[in-house]
Amino acid sequence: MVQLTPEKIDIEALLQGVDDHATGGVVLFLGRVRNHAGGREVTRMDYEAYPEMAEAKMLEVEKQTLGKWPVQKIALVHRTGKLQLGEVSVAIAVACAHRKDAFEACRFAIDTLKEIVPVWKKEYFADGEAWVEGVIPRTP
Amino acid sequence: MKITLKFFGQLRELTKCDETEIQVKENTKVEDLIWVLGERFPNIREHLKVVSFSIDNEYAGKGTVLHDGNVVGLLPPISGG
Repeated sequence: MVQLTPEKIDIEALLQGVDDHATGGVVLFLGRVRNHAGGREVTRMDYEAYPEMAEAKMLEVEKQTLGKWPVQKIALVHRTGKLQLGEVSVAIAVACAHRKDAFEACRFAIDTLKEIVPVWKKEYFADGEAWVEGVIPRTP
Repeated sequence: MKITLKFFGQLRELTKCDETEIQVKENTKVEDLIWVLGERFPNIREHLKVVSFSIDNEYAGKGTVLHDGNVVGLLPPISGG
């Protein structure tokens, strides 16, 4: 399951989505809005996506993860819009039979998401704002 | 032929444009489009050096040939998560 949403991410629903009695290890990663960046105090953050492409690329992250580890269930949700400090911007839950696979698969999923999913964030400071310096995605 | 351009993040702010249609010649490649864009939007010329392109929701290399009706995304370095 992948989702791009302007709404607050429902973590309970996300975990329900990966509920499977064949799994003994569930790893949940939450990315949150941090109150500092590069030595400056951050007051809030805006997230912008290319919606159609972001969802397509999140499905690709899901597919790649499923292809590399024995994952029973995976759910990825990315938030868009104006977020306050501490709010969850991205959530990934991975359920596997064993914890080692779940940890590795979840790590791969968030790392790959950050490399290929077209989302941009802007940090707001007490005295200004700036787009976060991102990574250039791999292109053919 | 006609293509649709979509701007995101800093490029959307600088061009004050979400989306626009432009005419380009047949057999225009992504790398040719970079020159066209630099002429049309001089204030993003520097940014074009690090912009990635998508065609119809898929990343496209600089040598990719554009076709009529393509939707081309101008993607600044990404920073999701």
